[in-house]
Amino acid sequence: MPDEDNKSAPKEQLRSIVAKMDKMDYFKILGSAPGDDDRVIRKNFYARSRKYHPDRYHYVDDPEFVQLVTAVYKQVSEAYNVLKSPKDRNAYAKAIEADPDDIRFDPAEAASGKNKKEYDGGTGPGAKYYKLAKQMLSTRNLPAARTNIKLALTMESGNEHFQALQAEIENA
Amino acid sequence: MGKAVGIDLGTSTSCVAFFDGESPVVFANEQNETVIPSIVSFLDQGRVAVGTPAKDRVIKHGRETVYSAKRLIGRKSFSSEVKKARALMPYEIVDGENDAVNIRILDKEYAIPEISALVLRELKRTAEASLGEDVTDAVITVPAYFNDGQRQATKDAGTIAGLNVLRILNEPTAAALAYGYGRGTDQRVAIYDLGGGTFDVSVLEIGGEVYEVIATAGDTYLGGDDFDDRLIDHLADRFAEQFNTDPRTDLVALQRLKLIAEDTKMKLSKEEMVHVKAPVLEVDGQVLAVDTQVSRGLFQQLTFDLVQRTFAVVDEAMQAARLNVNDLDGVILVGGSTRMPIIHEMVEKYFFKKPDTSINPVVVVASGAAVQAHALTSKNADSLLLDVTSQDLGVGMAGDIMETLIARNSQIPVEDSKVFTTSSDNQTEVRIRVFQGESRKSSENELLGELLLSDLPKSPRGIPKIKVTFEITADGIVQVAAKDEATGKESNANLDISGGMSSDAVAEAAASGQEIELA
Repeated sequence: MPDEDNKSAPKEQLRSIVAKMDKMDYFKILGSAPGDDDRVIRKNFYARSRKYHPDRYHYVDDPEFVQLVTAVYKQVSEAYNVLKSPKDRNAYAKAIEADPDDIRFDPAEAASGKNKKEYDGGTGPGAKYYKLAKQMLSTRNLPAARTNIKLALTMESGNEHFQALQAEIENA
Repeated sequence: MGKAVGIDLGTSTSCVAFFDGESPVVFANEQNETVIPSIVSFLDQGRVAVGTPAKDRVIKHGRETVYSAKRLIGRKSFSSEVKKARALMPYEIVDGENDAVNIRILDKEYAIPEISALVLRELKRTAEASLGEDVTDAVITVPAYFNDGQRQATKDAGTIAGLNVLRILNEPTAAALAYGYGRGTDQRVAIYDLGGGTFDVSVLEIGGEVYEVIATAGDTYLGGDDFDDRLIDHLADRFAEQFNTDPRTDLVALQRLKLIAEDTKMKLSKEEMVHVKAPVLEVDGQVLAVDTQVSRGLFQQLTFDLVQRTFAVVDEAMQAARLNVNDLDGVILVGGSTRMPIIHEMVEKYFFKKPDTSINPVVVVASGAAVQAHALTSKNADSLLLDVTSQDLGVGMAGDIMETLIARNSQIPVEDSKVFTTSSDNQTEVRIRVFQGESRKSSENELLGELLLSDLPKSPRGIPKIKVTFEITADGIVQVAAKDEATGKESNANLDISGGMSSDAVAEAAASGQEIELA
């Protein structure tokens, strides 16, 4: 941890903290454990903030030191952003239990990714052509993909997923 | 180093304060005003009036007098706010650099930060006169809901005014700091901040001089000005009924109505009924006056939807904070517009508690900024602010979808990275559009800028891996860095995503701006 009076030795220390943090899960970064409640998570976040928030060292005239302490703190805020809500905290705890290497698991991204995967064309009249277009795209048969997505869009012109796929095909 | 102050650069009024570790002091100018109108008026070659003398010139010298510049700062020339201003403002708004707007006065063009810089210089002068020392550094506040471009432009204004900007600080956070500092109690509070042009609400947890913003929400198109507009319309309609002519088509009459409306609004905070009688329009040498009674009830009827809109924003913040009103220990009113009795009433109804009236809603933001300026410049500061970003930051994907990288209400400073690749063989450039806003559709959000990754080595599609890191600094400003994962080299990327003035233009304005003499 940075020493209030001596700024040269702590730079080494900060460098090793940054390196260590890259391999730590979010609970360890905050000094917490799965099962901690909101209150404990917050208390630990405040303790880390008092120690590593760059504003504590704003007066220090050493850009490299400030950069290092900021690098440490960005990891702290990232950890807190994931662990502060019980829902994301649980999802994260489960993810690292299932795969201890998945220490940068992002519950919000996983949730939106899941929604994306779940989309299968819906139940509208264009669904059949959407699926075909997707299939054709995966086999790089672009003309066929183009025709099918156009058909799908004539049936459901406002469907955002269809529009997204069409753009993807056009860019491919 | 000289002294560091806190500055509240408001839409309607501005204020400067200083904190030495004991208690914050708000400085008064020679006219004994602690709060000055954020108005700048160009007198003649190279001289400007700032504050009340500038306000006195609004009607007779409308084309040379700029007010509500904050409504334009960091906005794009095609935004609805700019379009509205072009129609209503007596001064001339023209297109500027990078989609920003300039104001043309006496055949010279000024970027909006240059105008705001004149207000900042006036406040700096006031502080220096009171302190008897140079002021070199400042914390400048902005609405929490300001986006990257608006924050950057405000920071530019500080630089042009010759100030080292220690921090761009959110107004409600500053208010919480001024409120909580030294009280030593742990509590959870909501800040309801209705200013001249913007509305913010923030929910904070205060514990042992740590001020954590849990959630914030806002509307940068909602403020006291909008309440004035309703009264302007009402008064103009009465006038039109009587004289069969619409005073809104005359810019001078419109300025008069604006001042009358503002004055009437303030009187209605103290009185139940106001008799409005004032000259509005001159026709063939004859002065036509508006003459009507306005009751507080009528005014509340005219503006009730505006009040309701603030509570939709409050709902949003409370939900994001995962709290209900019973979880709060206090509600604090900030901003001159909260002096309207209807706001007190509705806040009490919503939160089931009387708002705190122990602080002055007009100077509290500057005081908090001063406390933060002290914290950032001293070794043993006891307060620590932990703030959040108010809007989602993301990149535009195919099909008008914004992929969020950093969600609103995330603690800052923070960063996230994403790996980009090519979609066709031998592609040497990738364009990435960066957005900020609440919508899932890119087109409904604010385009911060376009990032161009160029000079990619030719290779089959999908092979290049460019890691782009998006950082939100403690100022709430976005910074981008790109790295080629294959070579480990910094990528050739145009990283200046904030629109508005280039750093060269800011430096030039800082130099030439000093030639403008404050009257």
